[in-house]
Amino acid sequence: MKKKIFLSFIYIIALSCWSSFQNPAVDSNYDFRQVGKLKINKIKDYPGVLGSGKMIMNSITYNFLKYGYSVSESDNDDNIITIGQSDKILELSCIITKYTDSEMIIVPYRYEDRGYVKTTVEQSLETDEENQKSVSSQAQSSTTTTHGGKISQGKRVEYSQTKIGVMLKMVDQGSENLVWSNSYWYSGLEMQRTVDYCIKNCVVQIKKLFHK
Amino acid sequence: MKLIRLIILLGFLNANNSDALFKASAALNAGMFEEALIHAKIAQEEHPKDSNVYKLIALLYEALDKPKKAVQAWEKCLKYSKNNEIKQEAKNHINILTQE
Repeated sequence: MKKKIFLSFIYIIALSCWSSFQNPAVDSNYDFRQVGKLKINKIKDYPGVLGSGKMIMNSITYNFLKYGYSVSESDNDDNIITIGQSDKILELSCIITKYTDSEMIIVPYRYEDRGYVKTTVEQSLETDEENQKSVSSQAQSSTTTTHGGKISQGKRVEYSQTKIGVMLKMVDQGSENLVWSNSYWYSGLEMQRTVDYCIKNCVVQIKKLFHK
Repeated sequence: MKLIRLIILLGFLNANNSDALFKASAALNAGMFEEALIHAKIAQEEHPKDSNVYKLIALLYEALDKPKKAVQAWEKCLKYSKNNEIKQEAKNHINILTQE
C-alpha cells in the first residue's frame, strides 16, 4: 500500500516536471505593467549563417508591429518597442541556438509485398470422331499457386526540414535583474515559415506578460 | 492491343499503390507540396499506424497553411510514435498551432 502511494507521488512529481518543461522562468515580484519600453538588443548571427540574426530581429519587430505596438529602429541595429507610458525599460536579448535549413530526415521504410493467389483453370473437350456434334468426354482441371509475398527492409525515404531554436531573456535596465527567460524551437519545411511560427510564439508569450 | 492496354493499366495501378512514400518525398524535395500531400495520403492508407507518415503530412499541411489539418496529423503522429524526440516535436507543434 505504502509502495503504491510512493509510486503515485513520484508519478505526480514527474508529470508536473514534464508539463512545466517549456514554461518560462519569471520573476514573480516584477510588475510588467510598469514597463514603458522594450529594447531589443542586436541579435548575433548563428555561427556560419550570415544574416540569421537580422532575420530573427525582423521577425520579432514584425510580430510586435502586427500586434499593434509602436516599433522604432535605431542605427546600431537595436529596436525599441513602446509598451506603455511608464519609465521602466526592459532589455530583450536573443541567442540563436539552432538554425538549420536542411536537416535530413531519414525514414526507414518497410515495403510489404502482400503476395497473390493465381488460379489457372484448364478446360478441354473431347469430341467423338464419328459424331462430331456429340461430346464424348469433358475434362476440367484447376491449378492454384499461392505466392506468400515478402517484406523487404533497408529502403529509406529522405527529405530535408528546417529547424530554428532561440533563447530569450529580459533584463530590467535600471536594476539589471533578470526578470524573464525562456527558450523556443520549431521545425518545418521552409525556413521563412519556421522562423515566423517560432518567433510568433515568442512574441505572444511576451505580450501576455504586459497585459496580465 | 488488349494486352498493351492491360500492361499500361497494371503499371499505372502499381505506380499508384506501391511507393507512395517515395513519391511523396520526391515531390517534397522538388518543392511540390500539394503533389507530395497527395502521395503522402496514399502512403497513410497503406501504413495507417506509421507516425513518420503522419509527421510528413503534418509538415506538408503547415507548409500549405492549413494549421487545423496539421494539428490533426500531429495528434495522430503523437498517438502512434514510440520515439520521444518525435513525440516532443509533435507536442511542440500542437501547442503552438492551437494557440492561434
